[in-house]
Amino acid sequence: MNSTLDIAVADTWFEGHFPGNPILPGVAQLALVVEALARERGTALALGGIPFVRLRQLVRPGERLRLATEARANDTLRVALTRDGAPVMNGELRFGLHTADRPAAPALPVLADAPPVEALLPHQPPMRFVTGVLGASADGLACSARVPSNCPLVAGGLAPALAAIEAAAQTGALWEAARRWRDGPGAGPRAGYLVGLRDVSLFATHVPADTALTATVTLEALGPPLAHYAMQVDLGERCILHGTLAALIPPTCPPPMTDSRSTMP
Amino acid sequence: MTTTTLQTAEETRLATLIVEALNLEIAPAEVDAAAPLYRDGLGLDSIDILEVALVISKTYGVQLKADDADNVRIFGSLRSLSEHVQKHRTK
Repeated sequence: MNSTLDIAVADTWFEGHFPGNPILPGVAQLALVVEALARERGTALALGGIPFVRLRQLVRPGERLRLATEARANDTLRVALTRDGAPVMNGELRFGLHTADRPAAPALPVLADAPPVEALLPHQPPMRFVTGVLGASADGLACSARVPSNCPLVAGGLAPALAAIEAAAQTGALWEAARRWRDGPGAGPRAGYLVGLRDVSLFATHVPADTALTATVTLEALGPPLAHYAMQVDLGERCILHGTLAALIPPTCPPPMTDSRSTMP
Repeated sequence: MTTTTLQTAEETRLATLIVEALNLEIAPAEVDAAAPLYRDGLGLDSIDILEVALVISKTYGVQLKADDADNVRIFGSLRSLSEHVQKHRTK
């Protein structure tokens, strides 16, 4: 089934993300897409996999997006979000929960001298998901996190499971910030951007709000300002999702215009 | 009908890496070796180029710096990128 849908972006999505610099969270883009598809089909949809997603442009308050979809033979749906014809996000989604064996939660050594989350993350409530550092290795970080009940992703005490991606993205941002923190003084919060997802498998439809999650990221590849992290989010012993995320941390903090994210051509 | 510049074996391998890393809907052999990789050529944006730099670093051990003044030339085409990679590769 191929279709085109219009999506209005409500102002509530921008609270805490980020103060003075409103950017639609990448997971909100995904949530809006899944919501629009569910509305169109008149049924709840269980997102089970994200073979890939690429987030290309920042979305600001008041903007309208257009979603185009195209069904593929292998049970997946190609999606493309545009704004005035320009690509904002594109990717491939798979519906139907992932049923393969869930991996066990990775365990990282406990970090005694944990960096302060509030000082290193630009995210503010209700979009600050990470609550503390649990463990660290040379190339990885594990954090405690939860989806606050007043976060716009939450309805009826539940958030779609893809909200857990934001917990992993913030853990990746914290890993990067902690590295700068160790390297010298003056390292403060710096807005990073979720720019890609790959091979994400989801094992749940929802996560309960205000419930402790564990988000673990391990650096897979680094090509500044781009980093790839393997991510996993668990609720107790239960894996919610795992996959790879790509994050962009600009070397300085320029006004986040879409074309100033890098000096690459 | 535009003519496509044929690829060398190294260029085909690099084109395959790029197409797979970016999930492009084009066959590697269809990438014009002489056309620009970004914008009007293959249509890559700045984040795509960073992804390409990262996969090249992983595969060939060649570090491509985001602030290199030479990037416009290096990423000028599959051919120029492949030549740069072959010249500087460490694996």
